[in-house]
Amino acid sequence: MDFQLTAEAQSIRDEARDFVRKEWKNPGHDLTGGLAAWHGDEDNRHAGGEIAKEFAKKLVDKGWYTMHWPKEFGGGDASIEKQLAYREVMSYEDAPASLGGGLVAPVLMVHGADWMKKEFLPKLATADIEFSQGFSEPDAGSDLAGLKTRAVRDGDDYIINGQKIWGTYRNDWIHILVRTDTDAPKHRGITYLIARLKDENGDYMPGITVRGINDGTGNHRWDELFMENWRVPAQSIIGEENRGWYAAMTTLSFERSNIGRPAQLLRTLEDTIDWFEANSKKGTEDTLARAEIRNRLASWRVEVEMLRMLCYRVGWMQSQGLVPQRESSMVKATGDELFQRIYRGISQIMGGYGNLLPTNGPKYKLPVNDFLPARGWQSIGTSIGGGTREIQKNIIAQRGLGLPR
Amino acid sequence: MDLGLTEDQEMLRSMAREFIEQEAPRTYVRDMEEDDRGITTDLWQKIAQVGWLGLIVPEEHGGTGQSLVDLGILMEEVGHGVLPGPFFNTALVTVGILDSGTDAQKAEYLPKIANGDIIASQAIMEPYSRLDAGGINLDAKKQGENYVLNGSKLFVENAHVSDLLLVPVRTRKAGKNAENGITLLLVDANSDGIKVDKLKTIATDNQCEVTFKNVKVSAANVLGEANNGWDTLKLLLQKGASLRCCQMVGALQEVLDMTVEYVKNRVQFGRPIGSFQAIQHYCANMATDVDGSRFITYQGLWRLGEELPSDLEVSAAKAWVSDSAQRVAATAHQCHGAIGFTQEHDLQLFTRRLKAWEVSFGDGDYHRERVAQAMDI
Ligand SMILES: Cc1cc2nc3c(=O)[nH]c(=O)nc-3n(C[C@H](O)[C@H](O)[C@H](O)COP(=O)(O)OP(=O)(O)OC[C@H]3O[C@@H](n4cnc5c(N)ncnc54)[C@H](O)[C@@H]3O)c2cc1C
Ligand SMILES: Cc1cc2nc3c(=O)[nH]c(=O)nc-3n(C[C@H](O)[C@H](O)[C@H](O)COP(=O)(O)OP(=O)(O)OC[C@H]3O[C@@H](n4cnc5c(N)ncnc54)[C@H](O)[C@@H]3O)c2cc1C
Repeated sequence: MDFQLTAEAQSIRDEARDFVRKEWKNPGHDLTGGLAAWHGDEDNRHAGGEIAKEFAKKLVDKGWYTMHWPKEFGGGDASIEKQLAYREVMSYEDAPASLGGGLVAPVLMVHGADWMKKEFLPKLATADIEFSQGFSEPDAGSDLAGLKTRAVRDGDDYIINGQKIWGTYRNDWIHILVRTDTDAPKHRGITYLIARLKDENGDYMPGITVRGINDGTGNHRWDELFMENWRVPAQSIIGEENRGWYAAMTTLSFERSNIGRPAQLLRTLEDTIDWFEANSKKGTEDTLARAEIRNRLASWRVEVEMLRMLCYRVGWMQSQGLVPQRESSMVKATGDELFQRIYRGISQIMGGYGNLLPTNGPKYKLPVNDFLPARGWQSIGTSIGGGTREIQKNIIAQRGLGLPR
Repeated sequence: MDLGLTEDQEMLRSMAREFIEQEAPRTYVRDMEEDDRGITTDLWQKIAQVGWLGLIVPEEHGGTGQSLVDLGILMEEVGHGVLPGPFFNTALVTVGILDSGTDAQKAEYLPKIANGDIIASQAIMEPYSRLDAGGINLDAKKQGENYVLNGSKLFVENAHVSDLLLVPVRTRKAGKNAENGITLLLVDANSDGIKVDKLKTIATDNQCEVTFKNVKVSAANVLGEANNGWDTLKLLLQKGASLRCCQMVGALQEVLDMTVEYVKNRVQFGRPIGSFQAIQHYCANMATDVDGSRFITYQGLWRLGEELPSDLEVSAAKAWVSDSAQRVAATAHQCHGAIGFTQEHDLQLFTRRLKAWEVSFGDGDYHRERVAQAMDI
């Protein structure tokens, strides 16, 4: 038994920490993780994306951005433990990027046609391209395999009709799941495509319409994508026709511990304590001396530690060549819930300050770069996106514990 | 990072499980609940023979010199099998002597512990039921080469069968800092002036009140440093908490496994109740609690064994395990329906002990305050 990281992992952690502290100062954009929330106008939202990209470029120069990719694609073949240590510290330091390629790169590496590998992998490796994701539909959420967007072959093209939702469809390219066989069992009639959403001039392709969706605080969060007789070349198939579901489920042995969640929560707790200390000096009551507050803060710290251990367990299994399944679902379900509880709890303790958006100007300093209450609101979505809490629990019970369906 | 067990540790675990299944099955556990001693001398001798009592005792003193984590793995099995008797407390006193004893004390006690000749227990709490330094008030006055003890200790596990007690006493008045003036003594439990009364508890775990009336203990029996015993005691409390967590993890795993097995087979409305999603999600919650308990526990124990800073990690573990144990037990009962609530069913054997262990070496609130301190709040 050994709960410490290898020397190699410890050294990337230390190096990355020093690097981020030197090279990154959050200019007021909440850019972390899959929960990027924006509280401002659209131009600023765009500026935020540019800033994140600029930082990603620095990681490219360091050779860190694709440390997890296999050597044959120009990656660093980093051990799971090294990836984990790196991700943990990047989240703790609130860096806006860490590892590149997203979900698309591993899929292309395994199933992509040669032209796709040549066209996209180098750009993914240098943070020069981003993909939109066309998975969820209004009637296909948890039951994603029930998706209905229809693609019909017409000569060398597919003609596509349907609707996607809950992505942001603002990139030039999209990777998208469509139905190509309506008679086959639902998982076996799906094809996975990579296609242009916009032409070289940045205009949407014929047949494409996009409409924004705001979250409850009026923050532009997602889009809807309408496809009407949208033509996509058939050479855009990733893998084989009707085998798209299985291609989309591809994961390489990239680190999947979700270690960023506890790291980010630990940072949140520390920032919060600092914030209260600064505030009590202003003459308000010494909140941190109250027994019930100490108890709650400590209780969250305990839970973060427990979550951290569950994440390490996933990483450790992967490093042993094992495939975590219920273990990953535990991390997802527990992490989401804890995120919600901690952010809501802290914003409650903060009283009126706990309801402030980060856009009130410098007079109102709030924890976590002013994002604390806003992210608490955003946290509602975490136990829905990426597979809902209930779906995770079904996986734990059925696949993990073997309970009957 | 390596969160798995070595081959030797796997072996230790499976042999322990086999031993308990053969020598102390649930029928034995039930018999011992009615037994005044709470364990047969026959079983105690067998425990000595398989080497558990000498597991962490160095070879020169008749043991096999294994690690604290190894002891934790064994303790997990002890919890899994709800093994009756004074193994836990004897092992903890062994830890205390190993950490802080003089060569002479080690030579005197460790061989006897390893071969099963003496049973030992820690006598820490007092009627105020506090775990901080201010709670140690048993009066011990130095008279020549002896200390003379007057006062009482409460919730001393298995004192009624113990030969040796590890007793923190107050040798100087608590001034501003209650941590000063505490001394740890190794006390012969059969000394004149010691009276032991066994208490009836929910867990039938043989908690005793021990009263000391003019009990003489030689100054040679000071464990660690006289008047400066608090650090020694603090470490012992931490190791106690951590090992208790291991024991609880073993019991929790069995509670989960028992429940999963039950809900797969129990049929209502023409289908296994394990196919109802309400039950499935209960089981998913339990499994997450149990896995979280396991890894947070071993992190703390491993750090203690490596002598790394572990205040936060150990207290985080005991806080988490204490609370999640109650959730897991309650959920297990819910999944079992009425039958799990009966004496006949084994579930209650676990629930009652988990309830007792919740507060042993500090409950969740106690440890959360320690976590708050470790966070510099
Ligand atoms: C913040 C956020 C980000 C997102 N990002 C993306 C993205 O990048 N790309 C993308 O494609 N999609 C994204 N989504 C969409 C997301 O994948 C879906 O919202 C999710 O899969 C749930 O689908 P749904 O909203 O249609 O809810 P439904 O599937 O209708 O679920 C509603 C409720 O019913 C429960 N339920 C459904 N089935 C079961 C079952 N079998 N057992 C028990 N309970 C069940 C659910 O758990 C949930 O509580 C995002 C969503 C959010 C909130
Ligand atoms: C304190 C006590 C007093 C009692 N007093 C009486 C009395 O006076 N008279 C009398 O006749 N009986 C009495 N009972 C029996 C009681 O009515 C039953 O225990 C109860 O109906 C549950 O049945 P069961 O124990 O067989 O559990 P099961 O029905 O086997 O249930 C086991 C678990 O499965 C769950 N489950 C079962 N079906 C479903 C479903 N469809 N969906 C989701 N979950 C499900 C249950 O909620 C439970 O968690 C008493 C029980 C207790 C504990």
